[in-house]
Amino acid sequence: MTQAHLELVLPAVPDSIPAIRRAVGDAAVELHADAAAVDSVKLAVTEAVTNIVRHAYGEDGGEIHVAVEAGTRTLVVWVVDEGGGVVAHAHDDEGGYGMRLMRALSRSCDVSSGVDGTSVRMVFPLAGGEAES
Amino acid sequence: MSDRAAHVEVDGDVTLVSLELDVDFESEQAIVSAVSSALVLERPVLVDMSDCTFLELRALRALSDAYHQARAHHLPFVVVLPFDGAPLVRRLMLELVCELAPFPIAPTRVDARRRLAARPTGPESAQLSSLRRRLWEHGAATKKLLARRDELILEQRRALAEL
Repeated sequence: MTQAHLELVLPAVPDSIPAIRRAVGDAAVELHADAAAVDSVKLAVTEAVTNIVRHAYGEDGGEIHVAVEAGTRTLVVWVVDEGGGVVAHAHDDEGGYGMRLMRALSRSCDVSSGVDGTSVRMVFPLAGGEAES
Repeated sequence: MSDRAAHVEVDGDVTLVSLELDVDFESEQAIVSAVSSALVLERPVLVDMSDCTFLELRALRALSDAYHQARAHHLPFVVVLPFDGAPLVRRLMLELVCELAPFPIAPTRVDARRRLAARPTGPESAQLSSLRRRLWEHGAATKKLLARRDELILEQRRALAEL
């Protein structure tokens, strides 16, 4: 990862979802993303973070790590947990809509999962209309 | 805490559910409760999303489930989503996962009310079904009476002929 514009570590609880959404949205604005791109980032990150809150950890809870960095005319967002890995995320998006949404909203969406948790890396164009290219 | 709200009120002859600000994962239960309340009132349901600034997948699914519940109760259900509503909300409902938005969508409350008025409401619909059933039963009873009358006429003719 290059120098992150934003780094957040918050507990995996419902109240963290809007907080992360706002912080990531603000970071996207600061990195000169247009309104459509900011919307895409907020929705996709909300989806990834909600999956963590719902499925990644057991009763003991855990943390959500979020990082935003500037790419070349892009914005790269990492959403990482240290939970149950791919098994915990197996029913992540209830019918596949969540993953489909993240892929539709970003230029690329890569998910890697193991026993140490799951990492989602999404790349967004700074101009929202370019996501589908 | 998330900025979110789901308000329910009776507005004329409809139950108005207003979804405001950020409607996300935490709003799911609020939507379910709001629409359950609306269904108890047995009036057409109008969900106004004019002031909704953010809509998350699970909240949309809750809305979709609510629509199917309303249909099961024979209650008309319309969602108001203005043309100048939050672009993200419009994109989600109309483009990205439009299959999760099977309900009728109107751009204004006036249009939504027009749609609701065009359909029979729940109780009216039930009343109409009852009337149809009674008409059918009356029709069947009339046929039976006419058939019985014909039998009696034939019996009378046979009796007269035997005399």
